[in-house]
Amino acid sequence: MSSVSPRILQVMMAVLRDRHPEVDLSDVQEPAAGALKRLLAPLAHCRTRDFDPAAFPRRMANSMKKLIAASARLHDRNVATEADVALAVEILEPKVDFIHRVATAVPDMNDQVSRRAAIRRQFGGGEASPQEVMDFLGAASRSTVMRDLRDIGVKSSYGKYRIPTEPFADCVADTVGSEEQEKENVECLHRPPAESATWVRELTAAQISTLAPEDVQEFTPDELGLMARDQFEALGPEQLAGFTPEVLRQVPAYPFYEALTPPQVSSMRPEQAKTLLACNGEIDGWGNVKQLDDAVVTVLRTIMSGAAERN
Amino acid sequence: MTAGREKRRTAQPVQHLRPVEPCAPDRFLGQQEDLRLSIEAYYRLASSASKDDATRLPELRPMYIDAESAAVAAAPPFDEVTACNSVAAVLGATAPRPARLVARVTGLEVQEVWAINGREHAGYVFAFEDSAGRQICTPLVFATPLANAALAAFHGGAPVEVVGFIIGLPARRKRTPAYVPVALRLLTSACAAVAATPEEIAEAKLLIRQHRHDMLPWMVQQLRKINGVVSDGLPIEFELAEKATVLQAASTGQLKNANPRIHILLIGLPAAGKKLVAAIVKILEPVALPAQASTLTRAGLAAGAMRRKNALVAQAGLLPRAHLGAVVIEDLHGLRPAHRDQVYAVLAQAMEDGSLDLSTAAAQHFISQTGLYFDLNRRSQLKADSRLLEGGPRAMLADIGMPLHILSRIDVVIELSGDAEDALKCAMAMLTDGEDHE
Repeated sequence: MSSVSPRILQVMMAVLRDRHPEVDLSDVQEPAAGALKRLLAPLAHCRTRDFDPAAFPRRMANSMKKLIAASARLHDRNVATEADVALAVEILEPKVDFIHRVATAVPDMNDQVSRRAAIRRQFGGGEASPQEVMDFLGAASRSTVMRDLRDIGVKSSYGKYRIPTEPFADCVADTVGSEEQEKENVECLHRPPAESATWVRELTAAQISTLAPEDVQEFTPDELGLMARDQFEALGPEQLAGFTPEVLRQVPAYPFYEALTPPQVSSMRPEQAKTLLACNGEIDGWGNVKQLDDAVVTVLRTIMSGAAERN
Repeated sequence: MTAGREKRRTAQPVQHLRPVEPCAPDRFLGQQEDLRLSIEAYYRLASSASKDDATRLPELRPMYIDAESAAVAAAPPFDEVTACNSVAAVLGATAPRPARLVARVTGLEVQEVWAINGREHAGYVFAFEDSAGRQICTPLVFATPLANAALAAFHGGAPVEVVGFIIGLPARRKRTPAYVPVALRLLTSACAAVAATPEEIAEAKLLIRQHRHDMLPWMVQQLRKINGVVSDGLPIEFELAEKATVLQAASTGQLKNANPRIHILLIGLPAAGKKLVAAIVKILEPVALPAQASTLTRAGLAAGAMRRKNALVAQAGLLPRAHLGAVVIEDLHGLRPAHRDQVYAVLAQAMEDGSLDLSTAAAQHFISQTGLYFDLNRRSQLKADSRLLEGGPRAMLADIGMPLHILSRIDVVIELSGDAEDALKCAMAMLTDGEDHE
């Protein structure tokens, strides 16, 4: 087969385009419609929150017209045939495959990063219960889901977790013990809730004792309760012992009571216990009257009575 | 100057031109009148050039009248070669060949108005921009129909095919080449866009007749020979991409209110053959303008504003300049994030409407029936970012770096996934066939 120069191939295409500016598609309307329907069938049930393939069918119809006409034109015809439809379908199939793959792509549930990103995408900006997340993920176990929710979200009321839309910045404690770390630990209380929740575990009682009341009241009303609750859940007994009564007096304004447990309050000092008992029953930041747990109240009274006996 | 002819200098902005007459495509405008007045323009320039040329004016005068008669005799239909021969006779030069120019009108100004035998004639200077972005200015041309057609093309944003001739204008004892337009028509023909000669068209027609029944495989085979692609071990996706590119070159005018050209996206690993497919686009399209994604901007794609004298004029970008052809954007993953939204907005309009409306300082409308060819690597193949591998629709779209609304507008999407065994077979064939391959 003799070879033809690129220039002549270019002129051939130009001649064909000028010769058949429009191609008659009337003979292939039905086969084309049928082929398009079959082609788009896999996309019919691919609608998800992240991906809506509704834009594709109309644009695919235009693409099909263009391809059928181009095929007829290429073969020096101004009337399309079923062979042109077949070629158009062959060319369009990879696009449908690709879109189908995109639409039905699911995160790898064994990979922590993928799983947590999927949870954020699905529930970000709202609340979710562990059961809802398990239903969404399908295969993940309850303990895995609980761990994910604790790490990426913030526990809310009614056993649900508030899920942020974006991941929190990593707080890698690679400088634990240094002055820089101590400073950062305190600053951590000013950060958004879930981020600081992982950090308060690193705080020492001495560091907590340096907090001023305004440090606890730093946050916006939306973050207020969540912040306190999340942080206090994470605090150990020794850490709680670091709170000054002035700071602690600010605390009951937040939904703090639910978070306190008897082991946590067991190391409290008498003045702290007195403060807490005095604040019991106040209206919290969400407008609800909160009561200390009976077991916690018992422990606090024990601390108080112990102090009175010593005196 | 001759008696009865007086001239007065004026400078009028372009909007003071007379109302634009409807510009019929595929039809020469002005014809003999244009020719006569173009020659008149030559007179005007010659008279102000040098002493030597000025002394020749009386000799030229009767020849000018002869040339006018000759041009009138040559029509209809207007014959470009005869027209140029007539000009050559007037100028006493060797016959200039008609020079065709596919360009866009970027400026049109009334430089002077002459009163000749009681009639006023405006002298225009045209500015064109060819598909390579070169600016071409003409000498003074006295042709109102031509100017009206140019004005219509300017406002309509359509590229034009200009027929004219190149003459050596006397300037400071040298003869500087200048382009004198004789006729101007809207560019609607692909043959005009490739500036095909009658001989080339005849050869092309013969080949079309011979291969009309097996055109696609024959064309693909020819392209493989030209590009040095061996047929062994080619993945099926690569073959599909070749076919799609040939069909892209054959796409035109099927949709009324949309861009009739086919748009292609190839996704693939490095060395998957994306460049070879891009080479096909460059061979087959009448105009194929390459673009590197890393340097793409909205102004570069659509149009930028350029200061000319005291006004801002739009300078066409790649998309309008490649009207009837294609823009080849390789390595789209390299698109700079700062420009991504703007570039995609321009691409979306061009892909959907086949035109561009700019509402910037130099507001302008451009017709841009341009095919687009994109290729890209998945970003996860180029950089270590765990978020790209998370899975799920959003992560997959982020991996190709393309929003959904652009993806849906692309007609053909092919992912070139090379099979290792096929690739090895292909590599062996490349080594043994004795030819060089890219």
